[in-house]
Amino acid sequence: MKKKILVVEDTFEALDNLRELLELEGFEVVTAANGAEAMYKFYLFTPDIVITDLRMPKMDGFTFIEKLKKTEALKSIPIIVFSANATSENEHNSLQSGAALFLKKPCPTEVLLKSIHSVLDGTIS
Amino acid sequence: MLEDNSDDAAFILKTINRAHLNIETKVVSNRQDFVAVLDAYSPEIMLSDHQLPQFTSSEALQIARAKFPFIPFILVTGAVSEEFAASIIRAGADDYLLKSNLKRLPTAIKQAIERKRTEESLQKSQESKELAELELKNAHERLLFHLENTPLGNIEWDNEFLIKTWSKRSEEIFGWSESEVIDQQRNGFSIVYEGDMRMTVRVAQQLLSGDIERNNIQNRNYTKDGRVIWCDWFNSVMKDKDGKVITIMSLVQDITARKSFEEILREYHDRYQLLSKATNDAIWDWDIKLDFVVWTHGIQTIFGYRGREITPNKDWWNEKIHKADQGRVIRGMSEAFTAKVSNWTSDYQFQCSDGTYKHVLDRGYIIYDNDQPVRMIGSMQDITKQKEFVEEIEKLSLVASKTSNSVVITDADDHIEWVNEGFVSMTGYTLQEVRGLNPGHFLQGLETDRGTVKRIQEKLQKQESFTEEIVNYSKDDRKYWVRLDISPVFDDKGQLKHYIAIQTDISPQKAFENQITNIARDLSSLIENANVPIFGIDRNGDINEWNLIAAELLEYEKSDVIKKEWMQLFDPSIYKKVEDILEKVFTGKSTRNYELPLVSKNGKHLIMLVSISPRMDSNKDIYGAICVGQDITELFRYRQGLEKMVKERTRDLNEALQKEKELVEMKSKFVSIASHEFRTPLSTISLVAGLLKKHHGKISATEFDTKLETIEKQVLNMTYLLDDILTIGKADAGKILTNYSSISIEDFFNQTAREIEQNDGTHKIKVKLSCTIKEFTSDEKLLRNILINLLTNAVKFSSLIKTVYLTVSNSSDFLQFTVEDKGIGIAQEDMANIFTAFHRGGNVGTIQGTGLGLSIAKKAVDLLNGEITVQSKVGKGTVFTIMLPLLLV
Repeated sequence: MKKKILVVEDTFEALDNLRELLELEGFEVVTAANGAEAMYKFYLFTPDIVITDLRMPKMDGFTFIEKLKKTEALKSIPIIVFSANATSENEHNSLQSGAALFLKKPCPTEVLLKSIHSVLDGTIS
Repeated sequence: MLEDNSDDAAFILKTINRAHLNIETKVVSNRQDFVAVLDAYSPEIMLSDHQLPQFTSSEALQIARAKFPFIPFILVTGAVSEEFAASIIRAGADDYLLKSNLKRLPTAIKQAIERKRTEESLQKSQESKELAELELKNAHERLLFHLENTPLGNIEWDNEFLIKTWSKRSEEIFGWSESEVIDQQRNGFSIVYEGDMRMTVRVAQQLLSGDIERNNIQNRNYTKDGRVIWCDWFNSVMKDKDGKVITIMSLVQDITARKSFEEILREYHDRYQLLSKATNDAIWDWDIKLDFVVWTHGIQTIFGYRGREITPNKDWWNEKIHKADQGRVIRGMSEAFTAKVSNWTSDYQFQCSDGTYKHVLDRGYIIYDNDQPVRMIGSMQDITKQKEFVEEIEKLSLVASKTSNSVVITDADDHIEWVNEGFVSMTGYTLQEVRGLNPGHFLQGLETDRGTVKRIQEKLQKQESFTEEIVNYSKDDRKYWVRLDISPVFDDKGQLKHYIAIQTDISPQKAFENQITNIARDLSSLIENANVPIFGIDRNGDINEWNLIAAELLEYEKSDVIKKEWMQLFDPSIYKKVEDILEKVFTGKSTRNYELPLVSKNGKHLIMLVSISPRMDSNKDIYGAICVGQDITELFRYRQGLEKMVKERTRDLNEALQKEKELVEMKSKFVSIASHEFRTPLSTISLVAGLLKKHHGKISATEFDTKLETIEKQVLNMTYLLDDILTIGKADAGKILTNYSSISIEDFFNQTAREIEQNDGTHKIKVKLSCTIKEFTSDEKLLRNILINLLTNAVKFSSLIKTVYLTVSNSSDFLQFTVEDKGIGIAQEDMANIFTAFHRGGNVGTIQGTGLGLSIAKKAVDLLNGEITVQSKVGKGTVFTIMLPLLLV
């Protein structure tokens, strides 16, 4: 059974390429362009893992994470923050609000994929 | 009832009761019981049987009579002889009745009781008559005794004034014997003094007429040997039954001795009053036994005490004696009492009503009775004046001999006759050395003021008293200052006899005076010549000191301002402050460093730094103030300028600092955002590259090319971004230099529009030129920046209606161009930030961009001194309008 992964990213090229990469890696990929859309997709597909950008229109990454973590049934689903806002402050805030991992853009593909697998395996939580 | 037969007794009782005599009875039957019942019972009547056991009625009668002589005793018996009946009646029984005939008993009882009562009262009246007679006799004897022994003469006159009685005492008083006066017409002797005759006759007539019954008069009478004596007469009339006067009884007393004593006393009293009025002394009369003191008027005139203020006893007087004298005065008085002397004298201080004391000499005369002082009369004399005079004399003589002042007595020609010790110690010359010399000749010296000497000589000639101060020299040539008090002394005829000169060494005072004068002179000179302005003011705030610098600064001469109000020198706006300062100074506080604005005579405004101190005299009374100023006008202005400058600089600095801070913040933010903007395409490139590397086998050749194009596109994006960032960085750093040149309007706007059309390939740009000029001067590079950014945006955000309008026009001053699209528009909330670097509208969606285009356009417009404005509506489109000044080159 394929693992379901939700990718939240407002930059079209990035989203497109990420989807392609992850599908090739054997994931079932669901995408969203902002937090609000991500919440909706989340309820629809119930992913196994979430990769989200921080700076997005309508609902930013932090708000999205907080909402997820407030919902009892969903809060155990791991989240990886994948952001170009690579400040230590953002990293701290992300982990504080419940993200499993903070990854800086750009990030080598190998590292990205390895991180996703680790989080899913529970070696990172 | 004495009855041994009970039947008889009952019968007799029955008889009595039947008669309603209301008699209580007791029945006894023997002697013993009879005696007992008499003692206890006190009967009103006794009834007795004759024959009783060992007892008879005769015996009973005897016993009864001894005890009660007036209680009736009735014999109630059986048959007795007539003889016996008569004998017992004689023996004192009141009646007798036979038991056989008791009918008469009640009557007999009544009669017997009545009779006995009469007897009793008769007996009693007889006794009292005898007593009265005895008393009368005694009284008569006593009266006679009195009459014979009284000091009063007793004379009885009949109604024709013939003498009927002439007692022995009368003889003693008047001299005439009884035989010479009894029944004698008064031709032979004249008893009434002519001066009192009328009064005597009037009184006698009153008595004879019966108008009055008694009187008492005092009048003068003659004696047989012709002396006149004072007599006190007590006369009373005796009248018969018809009220007619029978005799006049007179009691007479010789009161001559008493009368004359009274007269002496009255005379003495009059004299005493007269004396006390005549004298200024306070006369007092102290009744020692009653402790009552009477004061004459002197107590008020001398000491001021009015009636109610005086408590008329010794204690009051005692209290008013000065405490220092009290003990001595009282002691002296008790010593006088003990020694039984008549005179007491003491001098002491006596307190007046107003609390002050007067010296008094008090002299008292003590009257003794049986060696006890009973009365004391004295006078208090005010000797204050004498006392003061004596003290004055004493002081003067003390001064003359003991004073350290030198005293010189000269004759009328100014030759020394006598000097005192003070002179010797002051000058060093002895009396022997200087006698006969003129004092001026050897006492005066080099520094003696000639003017003073001349004045002295003139005054000596005029024979006046005078005082002068002069420098003298002692024998050892010591210089000293003296005050000379010289008085001429004249004899009875007004002839000049002496001069008395008193010399007081006033060198210390003089030295002090000199010192003071010097200090004052120095001070005055200091004030006058000080190089700061100094003003003095009096308590009214009027100027009384004004030094040269003050005159120079304020342009008023001293004469202009002296006695003028100090306040007038100030700017009216600070009158209140100056008043406050002065008020403070006049309470004795110095005030320092007030900056006060003053106005000079010519209206020049000065700022003076003023310190004001109170000026006090030797009693520490404040009589004015001295103000020391400093002209700080220049300083004040300089300081004002400086303060202003500092304020401005501080403001500039703060502004610059703020700007710098904002810039730093902005830069930091810029860098942070810029890095994000770079990371995003880099991430895409990295992903695509990773994807190609890992999965190139699964990717078709076409897809592979697309992937490579994506990478190229991201690199291009990054290049644009980098260019834009560099442009902004340059602009922010002020490193863009404008390079003006003439630009053809038509060529420039058309060519640029075509360029964008070609790059995009989808949109049509309609250019409309309506300019009055063909060329204008500007920086072409900047202008391009503006136009390209605006046109690119217009194309980018209008994907549905693919036409963009560019219009260019001009006025005399401006070149104006607008870029209009029918695209997505800009939301109201984004309007404020459209020119902010990296800001992108909320509705841009997936449309690519750096967020720097408008920011760059704005900076370029600013560099060309133009204006950029925007009008937009979401979903309708946007119009940017740029106005650039036309430069005349």
